Amino acid sequence: MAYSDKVMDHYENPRNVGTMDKDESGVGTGMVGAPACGDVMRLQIKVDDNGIIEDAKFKTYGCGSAIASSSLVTEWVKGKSLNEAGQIKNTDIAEELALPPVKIHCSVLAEDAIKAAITDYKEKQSD
Amino acid sequence: MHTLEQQYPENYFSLLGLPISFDIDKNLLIKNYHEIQKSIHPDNFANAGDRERRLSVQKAAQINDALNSLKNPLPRAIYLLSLFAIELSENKHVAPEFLMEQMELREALSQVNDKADPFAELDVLINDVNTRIKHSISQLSRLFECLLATESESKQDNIQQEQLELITVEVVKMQYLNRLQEECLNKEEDLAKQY
Repeated sequence: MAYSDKVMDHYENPRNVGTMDKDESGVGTGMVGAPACGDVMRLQIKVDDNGIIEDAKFKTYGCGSAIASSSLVTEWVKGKSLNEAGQIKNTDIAEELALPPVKIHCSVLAEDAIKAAITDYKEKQSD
Repeated sequence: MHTLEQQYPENYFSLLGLPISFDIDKNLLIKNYHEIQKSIHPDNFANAGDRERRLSVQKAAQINDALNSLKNPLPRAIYLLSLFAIELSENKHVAPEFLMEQMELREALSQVNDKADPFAELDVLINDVNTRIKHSISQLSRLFECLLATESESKQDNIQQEQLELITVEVVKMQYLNRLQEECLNKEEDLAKQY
């Protein structure tokens, strides 16, 4: 399958690969997976006192499109409020990366991951 | 008695002469497969009419599909679920703890090369994955046995739904484990090339 230039760019130079301490109070962790292809994706955000995402990290085991989708999302969410980050749609990701129809589910995975990370962060704050 | 068998008289199990079940006699499966393939071999239809020839080709394809769906536990479980009208959806969620564990195993696999003895390290990982897969298979075996037993008795919809849900979760887990096993074997090949 031919990947678009943007997917190749993220695949070869993934942004923000790494891990944050999931037990830290300002960190939200989203773990999602795609059973059919066995992909697993972890997306983490670090939120400052003003509710702004100051940093984001990801680790994805999966195909190029899944890696690119999560890499792109970490780039996008930095500097955004939780509300803004929660508005990211898989269609935006798919469009930006020019994903073919069979790879749309990778962008869905990335959207689920950021949503899960935001939910995790909010749950931690209410504890 | 077996409503499933009545509902689907031409199911993959019956095509290959087996009862509908998750636990199968694999030797019998292979033996029956070869016997049927022999009986419908194109050579036997050299003098047959077009229709008969076409049917034998169709049957051969069907028998191949049946074998591919039944010979390994994961596709067999997925096929059994399909008889209960359950399709595995792309976004079926499993517990985050399970995904976390999968992530850790993937990480361990990716770090195998940095270890003093990568082969030994990989062996440990492969054994671990195989144990997990065996565990999943025995869970599925137990769950399907219950499911198919209640299925032939009466309509106990609630219990059946619960069992189907448990099975679906276990099948999804096994999809991840099978993928992980594949990745382990890829890694083994890579290592063999390097050393």
